[in-house]
Amino acid sequence: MIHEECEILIVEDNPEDAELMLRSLKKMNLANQVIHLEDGAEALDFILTQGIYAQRKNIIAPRVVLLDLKLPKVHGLEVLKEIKSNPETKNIPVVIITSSREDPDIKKAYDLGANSYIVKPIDFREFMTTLSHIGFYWMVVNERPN
Amino acid sequence: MKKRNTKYQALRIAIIFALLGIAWILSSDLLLSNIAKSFHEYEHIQTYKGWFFVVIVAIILYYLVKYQLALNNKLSDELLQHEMKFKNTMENMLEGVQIIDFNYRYSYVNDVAARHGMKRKEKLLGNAMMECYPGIEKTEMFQKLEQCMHNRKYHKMENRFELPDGSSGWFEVGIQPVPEGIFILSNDITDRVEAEQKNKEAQQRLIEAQRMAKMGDFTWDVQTGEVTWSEALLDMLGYPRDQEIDFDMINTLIHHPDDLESVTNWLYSSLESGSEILEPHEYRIKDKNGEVIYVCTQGKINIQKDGKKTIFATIQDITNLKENELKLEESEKRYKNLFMQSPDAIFINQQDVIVLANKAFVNLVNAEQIEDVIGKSPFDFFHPDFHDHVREKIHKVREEGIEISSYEEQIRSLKGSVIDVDVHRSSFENEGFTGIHVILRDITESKRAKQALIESKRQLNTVMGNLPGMAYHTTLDAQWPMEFVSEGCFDLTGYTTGELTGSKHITFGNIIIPEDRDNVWKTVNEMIRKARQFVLEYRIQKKDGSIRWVWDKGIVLQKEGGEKHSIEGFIIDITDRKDAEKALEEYQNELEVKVQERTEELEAFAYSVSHDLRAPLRAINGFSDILLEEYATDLDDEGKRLAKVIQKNSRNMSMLIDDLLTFSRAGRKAIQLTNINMQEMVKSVYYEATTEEKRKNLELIVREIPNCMADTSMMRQVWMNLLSNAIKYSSKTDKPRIEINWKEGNSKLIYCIKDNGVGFNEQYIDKLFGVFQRLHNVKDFEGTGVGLALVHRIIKRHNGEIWAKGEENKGATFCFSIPK
Repeated sequence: MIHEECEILIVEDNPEDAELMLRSLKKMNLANQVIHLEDGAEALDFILTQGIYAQRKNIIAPRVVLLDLKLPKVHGLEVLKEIKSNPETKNIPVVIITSSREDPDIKKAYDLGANSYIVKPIDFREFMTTLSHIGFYWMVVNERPN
Repeated sequence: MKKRNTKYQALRIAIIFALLGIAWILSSDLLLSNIAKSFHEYEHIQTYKGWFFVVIVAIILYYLVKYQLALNNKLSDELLQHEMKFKNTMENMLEGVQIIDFNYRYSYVNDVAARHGMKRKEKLLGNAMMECYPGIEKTEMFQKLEQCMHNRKYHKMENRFELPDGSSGWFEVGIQPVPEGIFILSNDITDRVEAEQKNKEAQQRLIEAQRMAKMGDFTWDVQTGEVTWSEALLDMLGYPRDQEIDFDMINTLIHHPDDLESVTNWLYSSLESGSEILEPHEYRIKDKNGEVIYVCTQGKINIQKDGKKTIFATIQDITNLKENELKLEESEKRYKNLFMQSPDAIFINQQDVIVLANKAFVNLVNAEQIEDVIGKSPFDFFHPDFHDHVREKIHKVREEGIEISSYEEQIRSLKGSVIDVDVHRSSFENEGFTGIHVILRDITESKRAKQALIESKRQLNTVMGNLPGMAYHTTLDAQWPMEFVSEGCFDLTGYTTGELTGSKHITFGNIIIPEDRDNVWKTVNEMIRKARQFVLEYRIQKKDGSIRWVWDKGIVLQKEGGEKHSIEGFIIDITDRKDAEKALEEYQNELEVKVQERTEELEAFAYSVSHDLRAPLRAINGFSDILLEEYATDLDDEGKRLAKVIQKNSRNMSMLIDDLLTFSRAGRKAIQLTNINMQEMVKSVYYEATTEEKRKNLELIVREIPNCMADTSMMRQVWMNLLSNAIKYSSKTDKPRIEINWKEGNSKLIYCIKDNGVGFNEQYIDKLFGVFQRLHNVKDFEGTGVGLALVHRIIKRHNGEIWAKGEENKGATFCFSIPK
């Protein structure tokens, strides 16, 4: 994983949610280079290419980070903050995918520079549909900076 | 006579003179011839003799003529004087003197006559009477004058003359013929006539007075028996003026038969006594109508030198007097009765001897009869302790003649018991002696009552003293000068009653803390204006400096005339209560905070719980779907069914959690009121809640419901739930019909939604709005049972009400009210 190419980084501590996400991405044939991390600290190391992932320095950054807020070790918003305040990583699109519909979280996320905020639909079907839309959008439609 | 004398006198003197002359010549010649020696001497002496003779004659002539002239003067003076006297007399006569000549001309008029005639003397003199007084010819006097002119006789008359100035006067005229004509002497008797008239009037008045005084008089000539009555007497008795009065008539008609004897005795004894005074005697007589009159007769007995007696008496009608006397007698009798019967004990003290006493007094001193007390001294009855007091009072009454009331003296009855009495003493005239009228009142009962009153007052004081507060009585003044404070003031204020009520010391106003003083004064006055009483709380500073809260209630006592109002009230120390209140408040605040914290914790908890529950739900749903999808071929029908059950249940759980979350959010989210267009909202919610398919079969009627002030999202939730319910529960009817209406309430708006669906049994109406309570099976109608609870919560938070009516299979109507 350390050296794998990563187009989509999913930071999600719930394995089932993660599995559903992967499934939908797979359905869209977008699941090739998807890396799934389970806590905020590891996510930070990965994106900031530090720690155990220090060797990823020369690997291209992911096309999009799907970031949950409720993460162990480091909170999603903290991760977002770190990503967006680091000049080297601030351009990476971060899509907050979380269960919280709470206004303060939404506002804070956008304040910190989130590119998008998606509330996980309760219905799994909807969930999966939404995911595929997200995947399609960020991987296909969106232009990334160089 | 003098004339003749003069003639003779003159002749005599002339003859004497001649004789003397001759005698002188002869004698002198003789002498001379003897003396002279020569002719020459003789001639000289003759010449000297001649001169001498001439000188002598001249001197004699001088004295003679002087004498004569003087005599003449004297005579003429005398004559003049006489004339003057005569004139003076005429002038000074009181009578008027006029002398007219035969032509009726005034030859002399004196001043008085002129005055009488009211003309100036000068005007009259020389003029005829007819000229001076035109019309005088017609008068009686003039006729008399004419008569006098002719018959030269004296005439006298009285005449009323009209004077030139229009007034008139009475004159007595004497007409006397005199050589020159007529001498008229006139006397002004106007005054006399007037006096006579006045006298007559006075007499009349006297008679009238007598009549009014009901007095008449009579004379009785004892010898002849002649009785004369005055007019007044006649009138008094109603007899005519020409009534014949004689003894018979008097004895039969006049005198009252019962008194006849006494009158006769009185008259004869008076006559026989020889006194000149007829002493007054009262008796009855009858008037012409037979009415009885009381009279008093008195007078004089005139005894002439020959012993003949005449009685001059006045009779006065004293009927009124007598009547008054009788009335007085009666009233005296009545008083005596009163005296005797009076419930107050009375006795008369004369020179320290009881001369009169009534029954009540006898009873008071436990005597048997009046005789037991008469003759005793009042001091026998008054308690020895009071003797000095009594003596002093008696002395005062005697000396100053005033009435004195004396309270709480004591007397001793004949049995020895002591009785408390109030005594009233006054001066009393009794048959010429001044005594003391003493009224005693037994006050044993009233004293007892007084004691009872004092006792009850004492009890009241004790009660007041034990009350946990201070009763007070003050005037409405910013200084609150206390007229009275109860004992409780010491505990309340630290000051004694004396300190608070004496104006030299502090007033209650000083005790009220400065910050509260103005407010107290203002509030009291405001409250009094409205309701004549006040209640308020304020702080005072006790003597020891501590600040205490007090509760003060006072009532205004109406005072007449612009005096300041009086206030009676009660003050309690409520510091403890205030502290308790404060503690309670603080505690409540703490609780509020705690509750707030709890609620927040709870809500956070509810949130995170539901939040966290979502993820596993998603997984259950997702994975069971994946199972169905990808392993459909490996599952038989039963397997498929089981998987479906799992899915359905997790869906339910999901809805439940959502509803719970919404429910909890509704409780804590702040309400933001805006003006909501209810009509638009209903329509919009309807479209959100239904598909086009569903709407085809549904009849929705939305009346013109008014706007209201509510929280938008919450109200939306309300409509969403109510509408969804209506739709849901009428989904099984053929022609589902939903009507939304409104009505006006008491300062609120009432919205109603009515459906013709399956309705509900009103028996379970209490459960309708309960959380998780359902009246229908989930098989028939899905739902978590939270919807209506949520609606109920929201409406309650808007200070509205929600209620419902329903009937099974007939439909239901839900109504809620929103304050305007």
